[in-house]
Order: sequence, then structure tokens, then C-alpha cells
Amino acid sequence: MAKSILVVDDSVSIRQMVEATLKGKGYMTTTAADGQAALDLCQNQKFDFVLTDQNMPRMDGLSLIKSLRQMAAYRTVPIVMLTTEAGDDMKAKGRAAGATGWMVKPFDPTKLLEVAAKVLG
Amino acid sequence: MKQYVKDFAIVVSAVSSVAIVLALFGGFPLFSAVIALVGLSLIVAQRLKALQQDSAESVSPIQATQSDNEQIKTSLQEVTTALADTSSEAVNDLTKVISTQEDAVDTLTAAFGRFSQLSHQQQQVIEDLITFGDNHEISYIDKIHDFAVQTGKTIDTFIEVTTFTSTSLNALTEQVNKITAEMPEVVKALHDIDQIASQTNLLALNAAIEAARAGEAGRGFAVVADEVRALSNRSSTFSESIQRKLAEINRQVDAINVSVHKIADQDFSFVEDIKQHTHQVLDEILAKSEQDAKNANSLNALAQELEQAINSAIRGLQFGDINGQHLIYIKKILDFTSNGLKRCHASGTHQMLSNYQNFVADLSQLRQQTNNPVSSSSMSSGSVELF
Repeated sequence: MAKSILVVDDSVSIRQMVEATLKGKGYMTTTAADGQAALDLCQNQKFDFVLTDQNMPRMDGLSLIKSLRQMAAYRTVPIVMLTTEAGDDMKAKGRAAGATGWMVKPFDPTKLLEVAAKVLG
Repeated sequence: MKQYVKDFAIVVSAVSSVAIVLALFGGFPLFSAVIALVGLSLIVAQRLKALQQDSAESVSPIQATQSDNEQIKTSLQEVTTALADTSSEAVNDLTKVISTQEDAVDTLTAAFGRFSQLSHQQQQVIEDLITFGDNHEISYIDKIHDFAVQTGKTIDTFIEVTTFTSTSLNALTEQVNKITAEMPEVVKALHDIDQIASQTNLLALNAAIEAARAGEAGRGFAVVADEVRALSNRSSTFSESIQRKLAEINRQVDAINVSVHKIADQDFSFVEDIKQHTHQVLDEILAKSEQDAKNANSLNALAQELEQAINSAIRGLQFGDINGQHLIYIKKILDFTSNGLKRCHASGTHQMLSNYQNFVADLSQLRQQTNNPVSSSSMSSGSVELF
């Protein structure tokens, strides 16, 4: 059974690129345009991996991670931030919120697949 | 008077700074307008400096103060209005740039996404074409190669067997010829036996005659003579029987001889032709399968290069998201500048000065509070860290 990945980004093009990369290797993908939309999806569905942007309207990535970690179903699900932010202070915030990893844009598709393979075991 | 001039100089300096900030943040379309504003600000600043010098030497300071104050105020309001309008136009232009950039990047991303998908499908079709089995574990190329090698061996074995058969037929022909040559000797021997039987018969007859002449004394001998005649007749009968059988065997051997000759007379040179032709075809098949294997490897290498190129394109196309965030940040600063400058207008000089000072302070605060979210300055791959 293919692993399911939730891709959260307000940029249509980033969502398309991440989806194309992951689908090419057989992963099932679902997309959300912001943190709130992602949270709504996670209420009804369990994804194996969440990949989220930081700066988004309505709810940012850090808030999404904090909310997901409150949910029993998402306590151990890998959540990786994919963002333009690269500051150590932001990474520290991400780690404190419960992020599994931090990727800085632009992402390399090969590295993204390596991260997906690693966090999905 | 000197204090006012100094204050205005500070404000003009601030406006110049804003103009320079705009020049730094603004894109190419803004550049000319902002440069003009910087120039205008510098002219006002020079004029203020001249006024400072003039006022120091002035004979009538009150008249000069009122006149200069109005002149400076008017100039500043003109600069402020121009800067606010330019910033406003820049915001509109940036909105269009962001929109067209998003549209272009979305279109390109969709195209490359499709390209990537088609590339994967193409790779799948190629894999289907050159392999089979549940997991594509068997290569058609290897299979054809094995078939060609096996067929070559089979053909060689067939030709060996055929050549051996041909050679054996020749030997068989010779042996049949020898048998045929032996036949007259056997027939002659049988004729000799016939002759002996005939002479024995004649001898037995003479013995019977002599026995009859001897009377009672020859009776026993007459019995022996009869037995000898009977044996002689049986010998003749056996000889005839053997001769008939031999004649039949001779006929069969002749028939075999004819058949063997027919087979032996066949031209087996075609086998060599078949061998040469088959090996030529098999060599071509082997060469083709080796070429196909090379082509399959080339296709794999091309597919990998294509994937790398698509990956590079995907990485490069993220400039849309990255620059979009840059542009939105710049737009926010410009928007703030435009609205802030518009609010600086006031009828009273003191109020106007206060507005300018507030604006500069607010702008400084905004820039401290709002960080540009983009940290990368190139399109090389960003860092990856797993906690």
C-alpha cells in the first residue's frame, strides 16, 4: 500500500512540484493551501507524512505542527518543514513545536525523496 | 531660523533615504523614477545648505525666514507627493509582476510536471519493451542472446549428426557391396554341393546295382545304398532351398544397395551452406542483441539525465515562490511608505515636521518587526536537517 503524504503550501507551483516529485515514486499525495485547510483534512484522515511550508495565510506551519502534535493520531507522524526560512531561531522554534526536520527552499527533488524515504522508514 | 533649516535638512535627508531604499528595493521599472526623486531630494538638500549659509550672512533674518520656510515647505511637499505617488505606482506594478510571475511559474510548473509524468511513462514503456515477467526481471535482450547461442549449438549438433550419417552411409554402402560381391561365391559353393549330391546319387545307384548282383549277400548293402541316395536327394533339396533363399536375400540386398546409394548420393554440401547461413544470421542476431543492450543502457542513462534535468528545472522554478515572497515583502514596505508619506502633509510647519519624524520612526519600526522571510540568494539546493 502506497504511503500517503500531505503537502501544505500556499504556492500552487510548489504544491505541483512536490506532488509531481512524490507521485513519480509512487507516493499518494493530498494538498492543502494553508495550515488551517491541512488541519481540517487531518481531522478526518491519517497521513503517513506531512510536509508543510511556514509562511501561509490563516495558519502558518509552526502553528499547524503544534496543533497536529496535540492530536493523538499525529503525535509520532513525521512532519517536515519546507520553507524559505533558514534562520537558526526559526529552526529552534520548529524543533520545539515538534517538527521532524527542516528543509530550506529551493528543494532538490532527489533530496526530498531521500527525506521522504528516511522519515517513512 | 538656523534650527528650522537644520530640521528641514534632517527631514529631507530622511526623504532621500526613503528614496534610496525604494531604489534598492524597487525593480527596474521603478529605477528611473526613484533616481529622479533622489536627485530632487539632493537638490532640495543643497538648497537648504545654501540657505543655511545665506541666513548666516543675512541682514534681515525675519523676512528671510518666512520666505525660505515657505519655499522649503513647498519643495518638501512636492518631493513627498512625488515619492508617495511613485511608491503607489510601484505597488501597483509589483502587484502585476507578482500576478504575472505566479501565472507564468504555475504554467511552467504544470508543463514540467506533465513532462516529468510523460518521462516516467516513457521509461515504463521502454521497460515493458525490453523486459518481461511479473517484476520485469527478465530481459528480452538476454533471452534473444541465449536463444541465438543455443540455436547455434543445436545447429552445430545437427550438422555433426548429419555429417556422421553421411559418412556412415558410405561405409554401409561399402559393406553392402562386399555382401553383394560374396553372393556369387556362395551360389557357386551351392552348385558344387549340388554336383556332389548328383555324383553321390549316381554312386548310390551303382552300389544298388552291385548289391543286386551280389544277391542275398548284397541285401544289406542295397539298404545302405538306398539311404545314401535318399541323403543325396535331401542334399539337393536343401541346396535348392538355400539357393532360393539366397536369391531372395540377394534381391533384398540389391534393394538396400539401391536405397543406400540413393541416400549416399545426396548432396550433403547444403548442410554446410545451412551452417554458414544460420551462423551468419545468428551472429547478426547476437550483434543486434548486444547493440540493443547498449541502447537499453543508453536509454537508462538518458532517462537518468532527463530526470536530473527535470529536477534542476523543478529547483529553478521555485524562484517563483522565493521571489514572490521577496516581492510581497517589498510591496508591503512600499505600501507602508506610500501611505505614510501621504499622511505627512500638514498646513503647519511643526505638525509637518512631527509627521515626518513619526513616519521615519514607523518605517524603522516596521523594518525591524517585519523580516524578509527569504534567506536564500541563489537557486542551489537549500539545506536539509532532520532533528
